[in-house]
Amino acid sequence: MRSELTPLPARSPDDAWLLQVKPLPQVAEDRPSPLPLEPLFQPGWARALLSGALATPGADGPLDLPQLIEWIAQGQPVEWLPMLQRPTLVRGVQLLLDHSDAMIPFHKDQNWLVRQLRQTVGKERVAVVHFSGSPRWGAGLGPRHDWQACTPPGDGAPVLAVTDLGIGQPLAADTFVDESEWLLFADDLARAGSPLLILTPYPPRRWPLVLARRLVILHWERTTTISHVHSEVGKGRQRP
Amino acid sequence: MNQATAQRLIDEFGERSPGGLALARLLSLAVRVEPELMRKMRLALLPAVDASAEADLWFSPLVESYSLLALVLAPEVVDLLRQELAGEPALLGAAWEVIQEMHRNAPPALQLEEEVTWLALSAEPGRTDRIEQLLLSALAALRTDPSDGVAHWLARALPLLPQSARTSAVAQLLEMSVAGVLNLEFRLPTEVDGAVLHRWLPFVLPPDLPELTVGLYFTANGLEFGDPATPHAHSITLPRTDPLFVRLTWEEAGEPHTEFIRFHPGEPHSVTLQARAVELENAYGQRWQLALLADEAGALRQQPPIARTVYSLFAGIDHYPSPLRPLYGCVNDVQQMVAFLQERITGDPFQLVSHVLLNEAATKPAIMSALRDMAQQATAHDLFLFYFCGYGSQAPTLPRLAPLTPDGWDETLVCYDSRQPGGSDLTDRELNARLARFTAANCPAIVILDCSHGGAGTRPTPAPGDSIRRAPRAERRRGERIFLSFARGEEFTTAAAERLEKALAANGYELIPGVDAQQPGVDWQRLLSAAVDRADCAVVLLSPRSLASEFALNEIDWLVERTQEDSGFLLLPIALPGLDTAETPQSLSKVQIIHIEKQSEAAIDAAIATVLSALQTPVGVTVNRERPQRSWELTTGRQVLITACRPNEDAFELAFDGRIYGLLSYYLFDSLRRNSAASLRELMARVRTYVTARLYDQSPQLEANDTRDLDLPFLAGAIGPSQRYATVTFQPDRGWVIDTGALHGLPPVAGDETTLFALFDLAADLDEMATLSTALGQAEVQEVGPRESTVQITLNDGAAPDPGEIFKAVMIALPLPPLVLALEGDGERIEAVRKAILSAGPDGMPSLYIREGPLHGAALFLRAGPDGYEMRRAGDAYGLIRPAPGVMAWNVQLAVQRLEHIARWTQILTLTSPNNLVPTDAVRIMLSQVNAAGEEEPINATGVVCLQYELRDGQWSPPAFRIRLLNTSSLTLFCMVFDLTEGKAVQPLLGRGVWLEPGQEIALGGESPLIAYLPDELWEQGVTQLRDIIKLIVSTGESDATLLTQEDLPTQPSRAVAYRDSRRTANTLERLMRRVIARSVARRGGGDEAIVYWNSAEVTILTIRPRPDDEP
Repeated sequence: MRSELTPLPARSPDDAWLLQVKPLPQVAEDRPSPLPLEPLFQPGWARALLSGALATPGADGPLDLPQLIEWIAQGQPVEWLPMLQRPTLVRGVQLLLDHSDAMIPFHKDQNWLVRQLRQTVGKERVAVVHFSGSPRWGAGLGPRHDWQACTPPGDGAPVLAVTDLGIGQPLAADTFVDESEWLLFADDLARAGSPLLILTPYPPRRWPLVLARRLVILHWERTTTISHVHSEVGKGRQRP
Repeated sequence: MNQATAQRLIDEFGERSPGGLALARLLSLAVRVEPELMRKMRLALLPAVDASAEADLWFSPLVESYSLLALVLAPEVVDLLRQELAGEPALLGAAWEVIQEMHRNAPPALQLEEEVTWLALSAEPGRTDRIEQLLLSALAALRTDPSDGVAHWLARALPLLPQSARTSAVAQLLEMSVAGVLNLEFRLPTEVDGAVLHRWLPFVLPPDLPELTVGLYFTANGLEFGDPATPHAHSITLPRTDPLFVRLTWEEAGEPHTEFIRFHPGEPHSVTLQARAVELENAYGQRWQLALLADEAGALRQQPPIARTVYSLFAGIDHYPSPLRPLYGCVNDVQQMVAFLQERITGDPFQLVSHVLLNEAATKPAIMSALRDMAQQATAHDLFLFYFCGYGSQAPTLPRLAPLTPDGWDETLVCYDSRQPGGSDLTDRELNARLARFTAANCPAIVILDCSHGGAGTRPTPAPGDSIRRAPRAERRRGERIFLSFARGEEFTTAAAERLEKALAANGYELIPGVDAQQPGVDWQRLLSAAVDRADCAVVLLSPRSLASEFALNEIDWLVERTQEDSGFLLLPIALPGLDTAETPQSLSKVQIIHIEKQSEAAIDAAIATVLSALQTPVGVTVNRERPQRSWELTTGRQVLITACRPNEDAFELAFDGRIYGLLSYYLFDSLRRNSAASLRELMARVRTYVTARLYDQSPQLEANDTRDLDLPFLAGAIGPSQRYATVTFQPDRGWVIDTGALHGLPPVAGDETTLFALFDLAADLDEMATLSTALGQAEVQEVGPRESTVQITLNDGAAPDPGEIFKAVMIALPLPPLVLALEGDGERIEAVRKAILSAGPDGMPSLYIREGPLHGAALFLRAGPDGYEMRRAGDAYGLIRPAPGVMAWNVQLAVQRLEHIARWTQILTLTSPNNLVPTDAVRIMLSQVNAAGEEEPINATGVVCLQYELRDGQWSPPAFRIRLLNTSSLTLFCMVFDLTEGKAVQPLLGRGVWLEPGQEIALGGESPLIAYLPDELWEQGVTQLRDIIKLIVSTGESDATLLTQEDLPTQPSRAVAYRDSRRTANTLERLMRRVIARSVARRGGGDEAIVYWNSAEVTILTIRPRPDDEP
């Protein structure tokens, strides 16, 4: 059907009211700063906890006078001066950080720990090495494809491994860490004379039984005390 | 995920980790949860809960995504957790204080989002006003933001707000504004009142939204919006929103009426009203008045709605008679497309009328006749589709028509009878002449030619096993065919006709005799039509007797019609003595008539001389002689032309899933099946991308007289949407049957390789179909039919399925059959490869990646060249491997490993999802070139993108470019990007992949642009072009792109076993990816394996480094 189309004047919308609204600023007024991280250990205890855990017996104490007197009394030649043993951090520490997906929630805690250790033990005495899942699968500092077999630190220096022990498997994890991995790794270190300590954010009730019996494991949590650390480390030294 | 699934996940997680759930509840107010926030929240409000709760939550199913920096909870879970938290006002307040403190330096947008969330959950006085104030500040920021940052944030944030906030008018307004800023399809919310929209749209519509012209006219029932070409239609322009929006006001029986009309672009819309005049206003506030003319106003009466017909003519020819070689995919192409259209054009108002001509039925007369018949019926409401699959070629132009074709060759379609005695090709001029009839009826036409055209293609001789749709040029330079018509029974007329016949024959013309209408039992109309169609010109002897016959008058009308549509057709009427000028038909008034005044031989000879002179006079038409190469041309009117390739290229046939199709037809069908609502421009961009990714020298072309037609969907939206889900039912005669088949993209069964579906209750929704553990069972496809396929069902509980049950089915696994390899030639070296393939699989079994097959339908080819084994993909030239004499050139193990390597690469390239639950364009690939100054210039990322080395300071510098991904969908999607190199390596470009939120955009490679190198080593060997295919896979679940990594083709045989991998998989896509690389992974998953929906897209990047001669 035939018709006729006629343009009419356009309607003009009134948006004056909208112009009075203050636009949301696009950047924060204050400079963004890193969020403060509350550490897993009780603040103030960290140094003592780490010292207690990582100190190894060293023969650099005062002169062992009774021993010296006994040698002389028995007419034995004194070829070297006997010194008393005392815990020392002089051997340093090899810090093994688990960079598997399972430790993502504690990535910043790991960075915090590195700083704490360097302050406690001395920057030059902390050797940081990364691994994923198990140190036996390779370890290193650069890209993963450059990682090599993990070598014990030597000189009896302790090894502190920060890991989930395979407990915290993310849903999409495509690797499975068998308990034997850690037992074999501990054996390797024992042969090289280095004690192994495990630090994990998971509570003792979730530790694999066989690992809890054979390894020194510390719970990375505010409830962990200095006496608890001494007790665990001491038990570890008594194990065959 | 629906609410029930989310609740179940929460409950299950709560049982496993009560502390983790308590933490999740408190953190549900936060947009993102950093480890620091989580720790603070736990220590502040849950002091008895230990750190393992943090890890439990981090890796719980409640989390949508996480990174080293933060996690985001799943939106559906968040909704429920927030409801729980809202029930404990003290905790809600305490949690808000922690979040507010920790996020005090966060971006204002994030703070706003969290504050709105808290307000919406709390009972704070004045909270509604505060929410509105906050959202309005976001709207104001959106209007003043020169970048799209605010819009991207809002696109993600708005859907996640608590319901009371997101359904507010301001939130809806914001949502529309965001779509406008981001150039997303401007979707109007359906639930918002039309009056509200009318008030707000002028504020939120971007001023530069594309416009759509819509036809508008009165009908007997009221007002019709539709095709502007409809008779008596007026055109108005509407901003292109979806749906379109118009405010309509009119008076009826003295009462004012207002209606807010919404209808989809490309679809007609009727408004029933009884009024002489209406006022219309579009979303920009532009207004018109449409008033009936006075003499039409009384004609209002009830009429049925207008039906629209899609007339379609299909011609597919495989079995050409000798000497032409047979083709293999033309009939497949036609049958597939016909079946598809028959299934999908079913709704009101469109109906499909199809005429299919296959093989010997597809003669030139049959095609011309069908075109004529359909054109007679077509109206302005209808659509026409012509689809030709067969040989394209060229034929010498008749001397008289030389001015029409400067190069002397007509483009032609080779019909079944074209190269038989008496036959001829269907020229572009003839086809266009017939199509002009549709144009005359205002019926839009789309022409699809899946054949070669133009001059010689890139392959003078196709390689064995390759099939190219180019026939040799028609060599015989035939004489013009003249249709001679006269009335029998008159002495002088007969004498004149005989003398004329002799003279024409003596001058090399071929005569087509007229039709004797008196002969009983003859369909004279069809005979006449065929005769006229074959002719190049016509001579008609007009006498008093002939003009007394109705048949003769009809014949003259047909011939005149032919001259009107075909500028090359010559009509020469000769008026015989005794004919009164007044008796000459009106239709001949514009045709020059030759007169014979006396009944004498001399008078006849004089007339014959005039006829011969006219036949030798070139047509007076000028054409553009500067066109470098001829190709098919469009006639006037609304016509769209899709051709398979450029004039200097060839149209190929290749094997897909064991059947051969034309490359254009296959990907056109595939693209239509995936998204029939895409505009022609978008549709063909996808087709071009896939065709050029598959074959280097075939580029499908798209042209239209009116470019606005390119913005409409294929066949103006006549193709209905595909079904979202398949269902499985029991049929007594066939057993269990799934209502999906080859037409829906279901790949055929190949040996043990078949498609698997997970089965769910018919009432299950998408969220309930999220994991295999919630499925009732699985269905394995046994035999694929066109529309339905038979399946074998296994229920998880081991029970036999009840025949009365109906299941909903979701595809979870695709078959990955070995690629077919053709071994060319014979001899010991070929036999050695044959044997090696038969033992290359696990445990000495045949290879799972390749199997030997015949030449036709093979995807890979191997031959023993002079210097070693040579390989190629179908359609390519030999050259995948350049054997160096003596260097592993004849190593059989290496040859088979290379073939398997190529097979994996090809399978990754062709990996496509058969369903559309994730839209094909959900994540858009955007390319830009970076110039020396570091400025970016966008590149159209469709088909092949060329990046050329540039001469800078006397040195050739490699081009720098950026690839960006933009999530245009409303889904949060996981994106994996791969570079499939010419060396057959597969390199992930985004590591494992990344999650993209709606509206989020990322650049590959971070800040630095990517560099397109062509290595010196290759360049020195003469290689000047390298192709990289960028493949994007987007999915609703996270997989690991590095699974598909493979290096360049091996240069040494490797002892490594490819058939490995037994790790567990997280979802169905990851399982498929693992199977591409390691076939021993089981097809069938189970347990908690998630069902993910996915899709893929590709762009080809061509790096060009000029030859050494071009060096400065």
